[in-house]
Formats: sequence, structure tokens, C-alpha cells
Amino acid sequence: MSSTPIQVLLVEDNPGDVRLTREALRESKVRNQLNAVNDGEEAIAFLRRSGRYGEAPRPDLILLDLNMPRKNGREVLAELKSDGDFQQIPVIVLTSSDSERDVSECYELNANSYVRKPVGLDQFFEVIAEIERYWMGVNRLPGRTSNAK
Amino acid sequence: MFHDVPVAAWWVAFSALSALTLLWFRARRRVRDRERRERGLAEQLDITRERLQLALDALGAGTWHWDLHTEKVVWDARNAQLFGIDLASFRGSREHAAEGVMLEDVQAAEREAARAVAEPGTMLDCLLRLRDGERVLRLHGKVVRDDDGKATGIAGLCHDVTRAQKAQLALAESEERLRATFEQAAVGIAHLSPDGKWLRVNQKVCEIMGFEAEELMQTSFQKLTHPDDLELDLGFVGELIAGERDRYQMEKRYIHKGGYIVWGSLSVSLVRAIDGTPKYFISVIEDISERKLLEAELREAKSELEQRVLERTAELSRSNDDLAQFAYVASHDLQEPLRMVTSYLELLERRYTERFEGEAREFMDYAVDGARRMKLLIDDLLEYSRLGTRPEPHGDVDLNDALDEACANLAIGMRESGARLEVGDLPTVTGQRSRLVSLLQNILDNSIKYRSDEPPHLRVSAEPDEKGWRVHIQDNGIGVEEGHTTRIFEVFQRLHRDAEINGTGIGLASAKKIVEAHGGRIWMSSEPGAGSTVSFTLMSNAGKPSHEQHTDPSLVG
Repeated sequence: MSSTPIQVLLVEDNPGDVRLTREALRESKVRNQLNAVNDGEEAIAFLRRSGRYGEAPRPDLILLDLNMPRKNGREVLAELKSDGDFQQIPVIVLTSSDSERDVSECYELNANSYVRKPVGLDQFFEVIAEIERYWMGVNRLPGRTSNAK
Repeated sequence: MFHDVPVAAWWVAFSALSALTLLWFRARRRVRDRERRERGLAEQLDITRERLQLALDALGAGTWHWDLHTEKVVWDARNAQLFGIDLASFRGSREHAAEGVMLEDVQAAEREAARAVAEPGTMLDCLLRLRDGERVLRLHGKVVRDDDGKATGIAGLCHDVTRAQKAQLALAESEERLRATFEQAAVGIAHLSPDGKWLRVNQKVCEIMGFEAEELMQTSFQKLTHPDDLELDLGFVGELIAGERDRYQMEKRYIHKGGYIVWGSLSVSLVRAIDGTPKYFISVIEDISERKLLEAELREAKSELEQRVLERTAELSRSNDDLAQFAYVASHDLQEPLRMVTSYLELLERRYTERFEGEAREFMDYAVDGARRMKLLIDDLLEYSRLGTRPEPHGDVDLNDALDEACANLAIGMRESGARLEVGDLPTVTGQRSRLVSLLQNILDNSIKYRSDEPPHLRVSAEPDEKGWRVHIQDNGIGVEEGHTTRIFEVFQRLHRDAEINGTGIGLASAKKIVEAHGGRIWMSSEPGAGSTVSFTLMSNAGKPSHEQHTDPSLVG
């Protein structure tokens, strides 16, 4: 366990989902640290380390919900992907919407992946495990020499 | 009366007869003593007699003389012939002469004679209808007077006026008929001068216009025509006068005396003089105000109805859109809280299941089951509300392929229930592929869910229909009672309790929506305990299916 844990930023307004994601990642084999923020504004503040996020780590992976108050996922996505400092960070849209329009809109905004939240617990855990397996295991993330095992 | 006899001939005959009569009397009185001295007079008499005879022949007239002294009547041969009596047997009496004449006319003739005698300088003129009922004679006579002016006799002519009399009667009758037709016609008839003045009008015209005939004569049709219709009317009149048309017909508005509008259907023709100059117009006017009123009412009612249908359709379409939108949003937004309920129930189960005992376990099971059914409902509702919201082009869809896909989607349910599928050759129809898969899937799923104790036996067949095909899906399930075969296609209409069968009541409603969106219809026939057949129609691109596609053995040969 010498390497630093993978920093995951979860942008999600539903505390129930935050908790579920946390529970799912807790069972993960990959060392990770889950940082959760409630909406898009906070996500941007976290990334720019402004306000109370002065000490925030730079995330290696972002899990982004779409429908949130104040600043929604699409706006966050557009802002990140047009900002040279953050556009490299993979963004996985994690939402309950399976509307075609949302899917294509997100990819147009350069989302790296689009995953629908499944309804059952087992399925949800499976999906999070899959994300973890691929994005934190198989996939190589930018700015890291190798992914933690 | 004189139509058939040239007037000149009359006067020649008459003057000659008068002269002859005078001469004859004088001659008779003085003949003996003047015979030799007045030889020239006799010669003149001969010439006059000859002229007289020629004139009488030309007229076909007979001569008569009635001596007032002797009461003797003298006829010539033609006169006797006219009265229908042989001259040789004529007794020369007034009575004999009057024998063949209608009594009424005899009396009238006697009165006429008495009058002529009483009024010097006048002539006798009367008609005698013969008792044979066929002929009419006319008598002209002149009273002969002596030097003292005393009447001594009456002499005159008689001729046959039967033909003239008949012609006159016929003419009068025909005129009467025409007059009655004109006067009493149910439509307005009028004669108008070429410049539009009313010349003659019948009663109906007066009724239509509200004027007395005399008042109408003082005015013109132009003054009674609605200004908006005048130009067209005058244009037609011009064409009529120019000979460009024989008649014209139009519907126009007249201004009634009371100031209101009367709708008339007008037909006009022009009567010309022999030299071709316009003489008068014949106008036939029919009052069509009532018809126009009804037409207007009908038009109004029709447009109001159309408007209402449009509004209602828009309302319906709006409310349909709203409903679909609502169902989509509701089911979509319900997913979120449901996911929470399900996930945390499962998390509870996963981590704390050993702590649940007795009732806690039971309550937990109910909660988990409720959440699971809620998920099914929401998924189906979402699917139903999406029908028709995603337009997909219509194309040829091979129902065999669609059925394969539907069965693949239902693989688990079919395997678990031990379902057996029997498929006839299915046609290619016109439609949206994904919807048709969904249609077959919904119906098959329904059959599997509502199976009896036996494993499902599903039979899919097709037969040609007027516009395309009729597809039947028959099962051996529990069936549906007759009164429910329509209700079963309504959304959320389920016939069974949850515990029995795992359905949401949306499957067949979706099927119906899909079939209707494809222009077809769907129905069910069923026998409780024996099974149901769901049938629906789909159109085929070729219109009528080709003969080779007849696949049902019962329909071939």
C-alpha cells in the first residue's frame, strides 16, 4: 500500500446515493478516497480549491450526476472539458436517466463514459465495481505512473 | 266577326242589294206605265243584278226578304241551303224559317228586327245558332221603308260564320288559359320593358316585392335590385339584348317594399319584334329566401361543428400529449425514490438479515415485494408512455423475425413455464419494427403470465384481410370471461389479484396502442378455462397480400 490512493470526486445531491457509492467503493480492492460534493457549484469550487476546499486533492476520476440544483451535471461537464487544467480528468456520468437525449448530450460535451444507475442494490454494487475495475484498474489514468493495486 | 269576309265584298254586296231592293219595288209599282220609257233602267238593273250575284257568290251568302205587310219570307237557293231547308219545300213563312233555329236566337232576332224597324238608319245584325248544334249563321238586314218612311219589309244577307265563331271561342279560351296561367302561377312572372320598367306582373311578383301591381308599374327592376347584385344582372341584360345569349338565370337579392332583402331565383328571356328589336323581357322570379336562410343556417351550423371538432381534437391531442408527458415524467421521477427504497432495503437485508426475526422478517419481505412490483409498474408505464413519442420510420417488417426477437426477449419466462410455440408462416407487414416486436412480446407475455395449470401452448397464425393481414395468437391459458374481453385492453385493467399473477395491467394496453398507431384494430375472443385468442390487423405494403402468401391451409385451395 505504498502508492497514494486514487482520488474519486463524486458530484451527487442525493445523500442516499452518496452513501451507496461509498458502501460500494468500500468493498473495492483498489485503494481509493471518495470525496463527495452536493452540486455543480461545489464541484467547481472543489476542483479550483476555492473557499473551504483550499486543501482539496486533485481528483483522478469524477463521478457526475446530471440532475442537481444550482449547477447541473451538463454545466459542470461543459466547464471542465473546456478548461485546460481539468479536461484530462475522466468524467463518468452516473445518472438514473436513460434518455437518449441525455446520453448524446453528455458525449457531445466530451463525457468519458455514461452509466445508468441500476435500481437494485446488487446491480448498483456491480456497476460501481465495474467502474472501479475498468477505470481504476484496466484503464490508465493521466498523471499517475501506475494505478494502485 | 268580320275576320273571314273581306269588308269590301260586304259593302259591295250590301249596297248592291239595297239598290236592287229599291229598284225592284219601284219597278214593280211603275213597271207597266214606265216599261217602254225606261228601257235603259232595265238594262242598268240587269248589270246591277249580275254584279250582285258575283258578290254573293264570292261571299257564299244567301239573300232574304221579309215582307212586313204580308209576313211572307222570300229566300234565294243559297239562303235555303244555309238554313238546311230545300227551297222547293220552303213555305215562305217566318215560322218555317225559324224551325231549325234555336228558340233563344229566334227571339233575339225578332227583338233585333223590331229595334231596327224602330230606329231608322240602323241595321239588323244577329247570330242564329241552328238546332243541329253545329252551324252558326249571321244575318245582316236593312229595313225597307216607303216614301213616308214607313217600314214595309226587311231585306238582307245570311252567311255561315261557324268557323269564325269556333275560332273566336277557341281564341278566347286560349287567352283565358294563358291569363290564368300568368296570373295564378306559383312563381312570379313579369314582363319588363327593355329599359327595365315593369310592364305586366302577376300576383306572385307583387307578393314577393310587397308592392301593388300599380306601384310596380311606376318603378323598374333596377330600383328593386340589391346594389351588390345589380352589376351582374345588368351585364346579363346587356348580353341578352346583344343576342349573345338566349336567356339567363341568377340568384339575386331584391329589396322588398318593407326594406328587407328577398332572395329570388331569376330566369329571364327576351321577346323580340319581327324586325328583331327588343320588345320585352319575360322574367320568372321564384322566392328562395327561405332556402337561402336554411342554407346559411346549415353553413353556419356546419362551420360551428367543424370548429368544435377542431377545438375538441386539439384539446384531446393536448390532453393526450399531457398524459404521455405526465406518465413519462412521473415514472421517471418515481425511479429515484424507488431506487433508494430498494437499495436500502437490500442493504438492510444484506447486512442485518441475521437480526431480523419473526414479524420483522415478514414485514421486510412485504416491503421488498412491494418495491419490486413498483419497479415493474414504473418500467411498464415508462414503456407505455414512450409509445409514439419516438418516431421510427415505417417499413417492411417480417413478422417471423419480429416474433423470433420477441421470443428471445421472453426466453426466461418461456423456459420457466415450459411454453411451447407453434408458428405458421407469417407475412411481411408495414410498420415500425421495434413496436411490432413489442406488440408480439406483450401478447405472448400476457399468455404466459395468465397460463393455466398446463404449460402454455401458443399458436401464432395469420390470414389475409381486406387491407393486409389478420394475426391470431392463441393460448390455452385461463381465459377471460366474455364481459371482460374489451376491458382487458384498457391501461391498468387487471382481472387478477397481485398474489396470483405477476402483471401490471399495461401489457395489453400497450399492444392496443401499438396496433392502433399502425392503423389496425385488436380484439380478444376467449373461453374461460380453455384459452384466449388475441387477434389484430396490420397493413401490408402491397395493399392486398399476394396469393402465394396464403399460408393457412384452410384458406388455400
